[in-house]
Amino acid sequence: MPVRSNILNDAASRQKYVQGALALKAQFTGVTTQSLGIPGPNRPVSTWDRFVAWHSAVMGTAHSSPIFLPWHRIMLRTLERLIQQAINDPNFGLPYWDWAADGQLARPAQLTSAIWNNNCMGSAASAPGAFTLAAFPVRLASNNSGALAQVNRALQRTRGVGVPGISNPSLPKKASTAAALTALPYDASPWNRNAVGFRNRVEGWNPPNDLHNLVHIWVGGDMLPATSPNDPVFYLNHCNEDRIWEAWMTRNGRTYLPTATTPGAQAAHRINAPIQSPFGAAVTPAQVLNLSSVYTYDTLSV
Amino acid sequence: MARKTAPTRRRSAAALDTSSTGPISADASLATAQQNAAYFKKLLTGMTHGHDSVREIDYKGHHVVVKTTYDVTIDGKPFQADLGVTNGGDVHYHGMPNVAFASALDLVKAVIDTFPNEFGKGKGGGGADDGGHGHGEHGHDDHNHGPMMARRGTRKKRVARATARRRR
Repeated sequence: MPVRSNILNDAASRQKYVQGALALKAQFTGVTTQSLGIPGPNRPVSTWDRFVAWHSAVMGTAHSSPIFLPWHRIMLRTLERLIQQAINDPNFGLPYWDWAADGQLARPAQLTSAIWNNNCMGSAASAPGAFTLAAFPVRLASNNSGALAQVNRALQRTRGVGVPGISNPSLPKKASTAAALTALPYDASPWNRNAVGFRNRVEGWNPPNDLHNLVHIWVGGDMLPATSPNDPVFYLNHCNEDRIWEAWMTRNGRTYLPTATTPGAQAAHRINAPIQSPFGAAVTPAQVLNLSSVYTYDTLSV
Repeated sequence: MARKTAPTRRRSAAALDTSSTGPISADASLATAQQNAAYFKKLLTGMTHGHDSVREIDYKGHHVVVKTTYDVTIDGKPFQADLGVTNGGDVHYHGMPNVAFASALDLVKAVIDTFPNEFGKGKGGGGADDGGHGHGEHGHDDHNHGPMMARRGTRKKRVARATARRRR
């Protein structure tokens, strides 16, 4: 069974993730920009980039809503399985980035964490590591109105710079992850950015610009738009989110809201609502609440 | 549970598809993609804009509804994307779905920083917090900017002016 481990403590997992990302970036199975409705010349779309399009397509439903965690669990597991196939290793487990551990460092030290070494994520084109323009070009990117466009450029990050009004942010702290574990219930009305509960806390809206959201802001560049799965760091962030969710469920029970009968919630957010995938059959949140027989984490200490 | 073996064939997605892999299937083939291609194409091409942001609370027996509409232009051109407001007053936008901005002006600055190719160079002298072209950690000798840059041609002088009119 795959064990998902800390990318900074498991060199084999790190190497396989980089190898798998490059393999899926170079894998073309016949899907094209035209079939996805993306304007411009009809070009093949790699398996890696199909995840970019998938994420962009569901921006309005899979974020700032109860299915944020189950939706990304499905995405992660799908990628994990495709990497298993690509590198011929059925026991490969996606690594995670324990960003709150780096968040305990002083800000200059956060920039030199080993995750940015060239044998890991690299720091984009200024020190590209494995994800060079030649091997890992960004081919699909959102424009300012959120629509997908074809591009051909290197991966971009602005690590630690932030955005206007949130300058020079720190990565999230351990105090925030600890607080998230005690947040109850899983989610609550109005089931969006204003909800008080675990999901909205761990997503990073309450308090604003924390945890998952803050990692996107801190990395910056291609991690800011809806096409953030362009960056391999995206999956390391979400794998850590999934780990925090697993820790929360271990502590508080494998519960999910809204149920099938909770008043006032959208049908698409309920526990038995199917989540569509371009890589296979639809899966519901109920089906992914307990995947402890499918993969585990090396530790649930967050 | 025992995995099915296929000694005479290369390992395939089917060979990996045992019950221990759980309920989430993963098949990158074109055939699987085509099964719900229309659904995802509709999502990708059906993005809508121009909605009001609506906040509602019940307070001391009263039901309060606050509708917010943003009318944003950049260089005189409409900025056609949905902006919303949280109950805490932070402004958000689906183009950068993970950020809560303290103001719409900060949000528009971030839009210009994040999508520089779509707004040109600007007039310059954008104030103390004008952080340059905000284009990430990369040089200009290792990539091109894709078809959008190629089409732009000569740079015309533009007025970098973003106005946000917020009605509550």
